[in-house]
Parts: sequence; structure tokens; C-alpha cells
Amino acid sequence: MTGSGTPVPPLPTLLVIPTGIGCELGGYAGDGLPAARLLAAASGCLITHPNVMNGASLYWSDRRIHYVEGSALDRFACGDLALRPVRRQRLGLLLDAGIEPELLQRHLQVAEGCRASLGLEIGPVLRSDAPLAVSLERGPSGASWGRLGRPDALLRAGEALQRAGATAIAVVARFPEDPASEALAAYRGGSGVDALAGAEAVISHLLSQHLGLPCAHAPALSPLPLSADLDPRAAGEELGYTFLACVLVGLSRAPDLVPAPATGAWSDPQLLRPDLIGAVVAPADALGGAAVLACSERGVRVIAVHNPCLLQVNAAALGLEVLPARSYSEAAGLVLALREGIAPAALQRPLPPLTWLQAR
Amino acid sequence: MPSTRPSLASTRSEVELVKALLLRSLHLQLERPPGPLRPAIEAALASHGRPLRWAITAAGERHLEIEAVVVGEADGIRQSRA
Repeated sequence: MTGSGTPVPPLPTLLVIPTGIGCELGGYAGDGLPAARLLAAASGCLITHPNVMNGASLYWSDRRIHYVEGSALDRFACGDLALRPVRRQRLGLLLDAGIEPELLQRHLQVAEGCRASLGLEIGPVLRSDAPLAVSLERGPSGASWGRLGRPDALLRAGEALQRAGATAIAVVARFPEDPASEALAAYRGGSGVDALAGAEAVISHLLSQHLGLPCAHAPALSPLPLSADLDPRAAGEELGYTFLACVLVGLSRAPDLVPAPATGAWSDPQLLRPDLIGAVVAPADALGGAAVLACSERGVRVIAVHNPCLLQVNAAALGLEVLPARSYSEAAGLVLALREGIAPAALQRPLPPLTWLQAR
Repeated sequence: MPSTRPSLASTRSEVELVKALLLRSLHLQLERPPGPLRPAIEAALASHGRPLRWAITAAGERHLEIEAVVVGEADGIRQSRA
């Protein structure tokens, strides 16, 4: 028998809740945050992406949670990047030239407020040299996607901010609006897909991959008319005039992205390396993304949580071995068991039989 | 970033062919590969451009459905005053 008061080392854990597929939990305005906080407490070290953490005017800061843009998180899971925790980032603010003057002013006031009230280091600020021309799409599955007509303008502005000393970049792009659309009504009512999310991910992926910096995106939109039937999960996005505050807070302590050395291994002991990942937590019906597949290939435990969404890409369909969890509470229990070195099977009844290796 | 080819000069303006970045949406149906799925999917997407974002959106016994956005290039023309 053993037991002591010695702190148990963290178990770096990835939390993935894919964007734009209507996840019941995490598919709205930062409503994955409570699950992230719980998993951070269970693991001692959680790596997750902006879609989980961003609640527009609502956010939460926790030193155990590492805010990593989705494509960088994929590259981390694939072993191509390590993460270097930092005290603070210097945030460049990239504003789409397509934003109207009043809406632009609202966003600048958020940046000023975050400087004055939260002590964040923000600036330089730059407008793109052409409107980014964001368009929204839906794939055949119903998942939200999108593109931008002027990716060159985005990348030019990002490069200029990086040259001017920005170590992380918050992007605000003007998004198309259709306040009367059925899709928006469904989302606000708690039964739809976030139509903006796919295009947002494309913007931040493109910029982060190009610059190698932490990046995240907030859409610029006009305020919506008041709704008495607003779902609580969508409410975070209707408290203010912008979605920018959570992005600035998340990026302010986002870890640096450190590419794999051309030869040998990372030598910096402060780095959070991909070989340290102990588990990945993802919706049970959305396991077909790069991060989960890469972790599974590398033998990292995949915890598949019941969290209904548009897709049905589950462990059986993909031939993956997973630990099933009925909720994020159960997933946190499994993460804690792994962290403590308790075999998850020992927590089930009936206890699975011992397996025998057949003698030759 | 756009890369510039040799310009085709005119008397009153500069006309140059440029490579413009282009984001392209894709929906692919792939035969299910025998080994790990991720490298096979990324290889299939690479023939259409640099994969930016992708996901398996349906998985059957023989086929996988992939939705993606890839980065490609397209020829464009930029005109400026000489």
C-alpha cells in the first residue's frame, strides 16, 4: 500500500471540441469553459483551443490552461511543435479594412479597456490594406466553413505586426450578417451550428501557420436585436458590442510555438513537449480530426465524451481504441485516474478478465 | 504572399502577372486506407493545395468523407501606373 502528500505531477491533456459542428456542450459562446476548468484541475495542465475558451465578453484565466490556436494544437499533437509558457505576450491587433468606423471604434475601446483594466500589453494596431472579404459556407455534413477573399491582405498585415514586435496577434474581421436567418435563430435558441466558427478557424489557422505566432480571431458584427428566448449558452456573445475581450485575454498568456528542431530533440527543459501528452479528450462523435488521430497513432489515451453534434465519426467507425465517458465530469475522473496511475479498467464492474498471452 | 513573375510592361501602365493566394473548399470521398488515416488524408488533400483545415465528416466501412479548406495559388493580374 502506498500514499503520500507528495504532489502528483501534471498530466498534460488536450481538450478538443471542434468548431462549427454544433456540439451540445462547447458549440456555443465559450460554453466549454466549465469543462475546461474541471479538466485543468484534474490534469494540472490542459491544452485547449480558442473555441473552448472564448465567450465574447466572458473569459476565464487559469495558469493551468494553455490557449493554443487550433492548427497549432494539431501540430503540437502531431509532434511538430512544442509550447513555451510565457508571462505575457505583446499583442498585435489586426483590424479588417472592411470594418465600419463606429464598429472599429468599439473594438479599439475594448483594446483600451483591456490595457487599462487588465494590464495587457496591446499594440501595435494595424488595419489591413484591403477588406478581407470573409464569406461563410456550410459543408455537406452541415458543418460551418468559410473563406476569405483576400488572404494576401491578412498575411501582409500579420507580417507587418510581427516585424513591429508583436508576439501574438488578435484578428478582427468584418463578417457578413443576416440577422433574419433561420440558422442564426436556431443558434441563439440553442439548437443550431455556429455559422461563423468555420471561417474564424480558417483565418486563425492561416495566420498562425504563416507567422508561427499564437493567433486568434474575433468577428466584427453589429449588435443583434434583443431576444427574450436566448439560450444561456449563446448569451456570452450578446453582452457587449464585440467578441474581442476574450481573445485578448486568451492570447495574453498563450504559449510560444516552438517548432521541432531539424536535428535531435528539444533541449529547453521549460518546454511543454508533445511526447508529454498523457490524454486527449474529444466528443465521441467527432474523432476524425488531426489532433485526435495523431494522438491515437502515438498511443496517447483518447477519452471519447458523449457530446452530441452533427457528425457520427466515432471510435467504432474509425477503428480507434478509446476510453468512453458519459460526461465531462466522468472524463475528468478518467484524467485524474491516469494522472494518479490508476488503471481505468479497475474503476469498472465487472472487472475485465486478465488477458493471457498464448505460449508458442 | 503573392510571388511576382516578370512583368509585362505597357506604355501607360505596368501590368504584371502575380500568383495570388486562394482558399479552396473541398469535399472528398476517399477509399479507406489500410494504415493510419491521418497521413493518407493529408496526402490526398495535398494534391489539391496545402491543407489548412480538415475533418473526417463521415466514415463508412470502405470510404471516408472529408471536408477541408486548402490553400492554393491562382494567376492574377495586377495593374499599376507606370
